[in-house]
Amino acid sequence: MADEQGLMQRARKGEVAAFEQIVLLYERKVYALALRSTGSEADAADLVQEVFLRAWRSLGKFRGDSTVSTWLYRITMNLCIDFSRRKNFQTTPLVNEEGAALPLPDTHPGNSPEAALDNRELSRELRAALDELSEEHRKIVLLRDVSGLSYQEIGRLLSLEEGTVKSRLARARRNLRAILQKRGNIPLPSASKGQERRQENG
Amino acid sequence: MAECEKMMELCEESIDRTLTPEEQELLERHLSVCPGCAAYLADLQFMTAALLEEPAFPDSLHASIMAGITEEASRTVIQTHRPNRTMPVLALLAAAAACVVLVLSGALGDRLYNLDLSLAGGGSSGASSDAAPSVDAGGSGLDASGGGLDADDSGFGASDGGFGADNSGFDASGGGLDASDGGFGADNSGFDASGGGLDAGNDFNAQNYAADTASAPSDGSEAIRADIEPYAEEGAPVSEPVEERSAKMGARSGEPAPRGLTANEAGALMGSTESSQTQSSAVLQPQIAAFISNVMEGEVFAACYLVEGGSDLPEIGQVQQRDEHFGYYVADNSPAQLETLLDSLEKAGCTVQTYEEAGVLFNEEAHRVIIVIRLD
Repeated sequence: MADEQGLMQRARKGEVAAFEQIVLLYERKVYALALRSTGSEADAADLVQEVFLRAWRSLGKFRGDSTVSTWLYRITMNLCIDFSRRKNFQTTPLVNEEGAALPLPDTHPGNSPEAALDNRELSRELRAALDELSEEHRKIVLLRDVSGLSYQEIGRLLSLEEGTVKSRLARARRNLRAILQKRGNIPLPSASKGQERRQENG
Repeated sequence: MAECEKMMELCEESIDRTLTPEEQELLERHLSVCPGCAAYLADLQFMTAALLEEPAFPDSLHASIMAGITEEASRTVIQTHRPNRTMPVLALLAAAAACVVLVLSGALGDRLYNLDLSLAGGGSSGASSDAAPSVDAGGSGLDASGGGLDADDSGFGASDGGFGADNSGFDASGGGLDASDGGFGADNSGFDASGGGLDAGNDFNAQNYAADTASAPSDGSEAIRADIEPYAEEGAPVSEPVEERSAKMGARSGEPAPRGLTANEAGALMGSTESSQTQSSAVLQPQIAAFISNVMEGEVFAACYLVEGGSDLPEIGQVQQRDEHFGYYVADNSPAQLETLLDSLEKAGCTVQTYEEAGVLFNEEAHRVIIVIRLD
């Protein structure tokens, strides 16, 4: 990480090559986050370019007390949320602030859960389910499960206590599962009879 | 069930690999006898694995990112503390001029009565009546009946070339109107930089503008401040009440009146007085900068407008974000759309001003503007 700070210092002085190293370190993660958030490869590509452009422009505001990753993810998150609002992707939240479940929307009962899904379909379905989460829950799932940030990093990024991060993440995941179950387009392990295989990966 | 609830939490922690060995063992024992929790863990593992799976990264994306950076690096981005003044000021100007009517006809009406007398006196004794369109402010423009200074009468409409060149002639934090060449020979004669007052001075040099609009004390603004509390949070010490000041103005008006600036001269001078806005904005800056930097990391806008006052805010779109003091909107930097928008704000009695120390980057080519609404 010290290396990153050094790169950032050089980038701040206008050294594009140093900034490119930062880009190389994070572009895939930022792209993944943007793709999960927008569900569109083209939109995600646009967003990634915008993220790094903004990062470049605000290099002067980067403070060494946050990591480069949380700084970049914060910019990404803000852009994704802005994008989602502009595109009217946001649907009625399924949970209120307290996490109490609200009525689930109609789904697609015609689709068979057994149908095999290729990665692209799975990705689309995940994105649609994420979209049904409240913005708070979506953010926290993306930051933890897509970007792999620690509770502590998420807490810093969202200005939350670690305990709150943990409990909100738990609620968000439960809601996401409920949404996927209700939509029925992804064959979740619990929907198959193979529950006995549950601990193979644990 | 209570046990399952606890175990579900352990499932989540096992996903995040934060379990102690004892907790892990406890969980595994439970899972072996509880299909529900086992199914929950399996689903969690499936979901998180699917989310974590890194998508294929488009081949050309890295090059596109770097092309954007390289292009940006070759350009000069104007920083907030000294932005380029390429804002759609005509629309703002019209809105601000009209706002003056509302400001003057509202809570300030009574106070203005005193000033009106002194202005009228000054106008008759000191000013040359044909100096500039706005010289009428001394006599007919201000009206104790509450009509205030009519934007049309005062020559401050958008069509007035002298002021169209730059909006810094307007009081930067209160939508006030600086009437050029009031014929009083008084510098710093505005009511109050932060209060939407009327500045009747005829001196357009940068220093006077800065002093006049900054939070530093200017003559005789205390009484006015009392009536415009929303704008006077950082009320600077003020030396004289309006009555005294009026007398002083009257005395000053007996001095030989300086030559009136023509509208064009005034406009040209104002165009070079950039400091006026940034200084006046200092009153509000910490709050706004903190607010915007919290929500708009790294954003670039063509301009920032600060909207204050007003009764009911019109429907101008969805508030992007808000805290207890401010809300912000983002609008396209299109003159037509901005004019409509600012017009609707003006109708609601708001004062609108450009604000240049908002903590975001300004770039004349940006396609959006940010509009900060003061909510408290």
